[in-house]
Amino acid sequence: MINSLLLLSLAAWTGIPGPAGVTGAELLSTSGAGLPSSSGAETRATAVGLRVGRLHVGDGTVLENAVVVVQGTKVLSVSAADGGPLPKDTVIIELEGELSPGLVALRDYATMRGENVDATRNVMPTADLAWAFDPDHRDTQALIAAGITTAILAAPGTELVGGLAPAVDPGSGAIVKRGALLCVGAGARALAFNRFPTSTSGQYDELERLFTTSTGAAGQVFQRAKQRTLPVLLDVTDRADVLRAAAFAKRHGLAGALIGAMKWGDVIEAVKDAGLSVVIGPIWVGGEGEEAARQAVRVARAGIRIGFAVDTPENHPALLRASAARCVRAGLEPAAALRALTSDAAAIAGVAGQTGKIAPGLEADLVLWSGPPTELTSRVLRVWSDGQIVHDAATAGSQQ
Amino acid sequence: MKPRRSILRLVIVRGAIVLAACVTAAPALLAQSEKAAPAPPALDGAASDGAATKPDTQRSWTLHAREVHTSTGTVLENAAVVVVDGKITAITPGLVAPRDAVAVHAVTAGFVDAGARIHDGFASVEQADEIQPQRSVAITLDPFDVRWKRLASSGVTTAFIAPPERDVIGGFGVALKTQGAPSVAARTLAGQSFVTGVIGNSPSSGNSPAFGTPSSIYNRRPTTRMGVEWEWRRAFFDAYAATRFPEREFAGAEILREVLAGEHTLYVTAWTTADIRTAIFLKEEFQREGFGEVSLVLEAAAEAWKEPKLLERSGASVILPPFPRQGRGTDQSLMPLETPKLLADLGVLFALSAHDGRDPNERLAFQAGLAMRGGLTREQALVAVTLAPARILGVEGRVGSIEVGKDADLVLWNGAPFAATSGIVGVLVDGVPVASLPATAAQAAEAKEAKEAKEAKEAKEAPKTTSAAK
Repeated sequence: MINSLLLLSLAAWTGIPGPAGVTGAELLSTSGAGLPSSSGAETRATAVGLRVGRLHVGDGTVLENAVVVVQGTKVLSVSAADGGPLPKDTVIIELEGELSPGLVALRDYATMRGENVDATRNVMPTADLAWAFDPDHRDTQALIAAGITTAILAAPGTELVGGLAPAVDPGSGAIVKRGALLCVGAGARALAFNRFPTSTSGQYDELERLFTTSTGAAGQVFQRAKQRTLPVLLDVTDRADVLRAAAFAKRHGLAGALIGAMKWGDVIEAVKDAGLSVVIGPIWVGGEGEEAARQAVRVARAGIRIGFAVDTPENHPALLRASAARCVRAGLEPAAALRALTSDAAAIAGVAGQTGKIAPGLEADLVLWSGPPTELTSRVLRVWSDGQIVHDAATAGSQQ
Repeated sequence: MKPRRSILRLVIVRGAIVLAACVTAAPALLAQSEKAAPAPPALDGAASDGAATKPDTQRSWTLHAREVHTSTGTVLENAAVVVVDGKITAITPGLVAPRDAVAVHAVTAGFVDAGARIHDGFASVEQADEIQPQRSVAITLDPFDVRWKRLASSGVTTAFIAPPERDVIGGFGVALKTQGAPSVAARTLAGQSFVTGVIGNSPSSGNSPAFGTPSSIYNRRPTTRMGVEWEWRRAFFDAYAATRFPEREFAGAEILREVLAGEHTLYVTAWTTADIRTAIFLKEEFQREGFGEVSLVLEAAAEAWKEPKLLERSGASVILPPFPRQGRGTDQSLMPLETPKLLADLGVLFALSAHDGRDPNERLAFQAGLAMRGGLTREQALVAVTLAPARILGVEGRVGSIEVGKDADLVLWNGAPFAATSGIVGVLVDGVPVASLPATAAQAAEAKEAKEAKEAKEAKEAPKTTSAAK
């Protein structure tokens, strides 16, 4: 990652022509860091305006011929092409394709190499999973190449209380938010044969006990969850799990999302009633994928906020967008699918104030696509993370 | 669909009339009901349009049977059973089957299986400890499990589920309807009435002493039947002693004290004579020591017949397991076909059960048939799968017999109940059919008419097509 950045900066500096359709000037959008004219680049970066034919804000709105002004790591402004004066000295770069916010993968295991669980303990409410994040791991490259600029690094559902999942940026290597979500194993996966709980009754008795009687640092975590300042990610398997988890969340006033179930048909009302969101797991091609996509569409149509998970490195990160595309094929509106990949996912993870949309003040996490982002024929052309180009299809070997 | 709806409306009218008939003087009842058979069209319109509360058509039916077995000791001949909104609202004998009634040979109450095993396997029993009275199996159940429908189709409309036999004391079981809303809570009839446990081989299976360093949560007692008995005695002794010695308190002890106080019934799975004796001796011991008086239900008590005097003395009611296919059953228990007859003669309150009833020949109706072969009368066999288990579970106020005001849990037969040649042709749970019910005479006539019309139309069109082909 660092090397490619250096290369890009070098290209900008030396004026080496880029591939077809990419001029040397475009590469300037690697922000102030690569600009020879800027002094004190870290603090007073030159504003770079990206003009693009079509811009997906991420909340469902689409702007034609829009200009995104990026200054430093943030988006300064978003406007239609004739939408008023741009800041002085703005370098305008013309882009071909469609621009969307960087994608948000809810629940991911990238870079953690299994260090997100402790085999001896399955209740770790205070465990900060950010410690398992390795920004130099090559998984980050794969995520970025798939347009994923935010990943929620979570504990698997095998843990009763798996810890605090951070939102990380695989592009910049930054931790966007520590303790974004509390991972709770509310489904069959959290049961084991050789330790407590072995049963659903033991599991829910224990969750009940933890959420009501915990003290100290652990107690504070559960308290924050009950005050809705810490959303929970409830892992479930089947519809019975969903009913139990939704009832539990409602009883304790939890906010957050359910993840892991495939069938939602008869339990949508319960989920809605509990005010929970739903994270759709990776949807595979073939097999039960068709049905899973239809189920996801039903959930979204019921007015429940959805997001997607891909579970890298178990699955290829491209499956994130492919899952959304499958939902589009099953009847989901493309705008809703993109929302689920960006702003809605950010809202589920509680990082809507930082990313998930192309909006003033938010991180400049952007993806340039060759076509509509939710169509599988569209390719990732370029990815910006915190205002920096972190991936360029033209120079990345695997994409050529 | 449209013509069908008008038939349903007619059914409701009939229900209303029979209802009205019931509140009038008894002699007028028959005449009025029979007079109502042609159903004047004017009344039809008035009733359906003017009714303040429209009955739920999906849960309202008129059934007619040559024999209505009420489970209360009577068989009503040529009787109509009227169901409105999932409740039985009228039972009228001596009627000719109305055209819009679902007419069958016999109707019985929905079966109650007090030993059903539709749980989620080991996910339904917490094995981290042997004594888990504070757990409840209800939360572990899956209302979407397909086995519920299979159980309901076999005639079982109410089931009691205990945790699987892996703990000494496994916690609360739950009595619930086998069909209905996809929610265990919504289907529950009794959730905290029974603390369940096991005496026998199964709670110790899988446990082993630790040789050297314990490597598993299963390195523990009990490893034998003797250990199981010891766990039972210790649990109740500690629960009782904890009132004076707080250090003896443990999770769930409060619930065991409630059992001693008679607030919950103890539901003990005990297959063999040895285990049944243990259960009864423990009960008597607790009483003798002044802990309290335990109300006891012996489940899967295959060998209950071997100790009739002890059984009688204990006052325990019995739930029999399914008859073994051949030879001996679980724990080498011996249960001949005469077992239900022996218990009936003894005057013990007993019920039959089919457990998980995986095989069609092991389902509850078949068990009742086997019990009849062993000497029970049809009436006794019927009670053993309906009212008796309902009484044992304490839910006889709602289910277990065909009586006005009870839930419309009904089984429809095409012959005499439990006869080898009879089949179940329909089941209602709270008035909702598990599968489509047999057609009414009106529906059959309508279908015949439609078929004839279709055939006539085809016959008319046939020459045309042949000439066109030429």
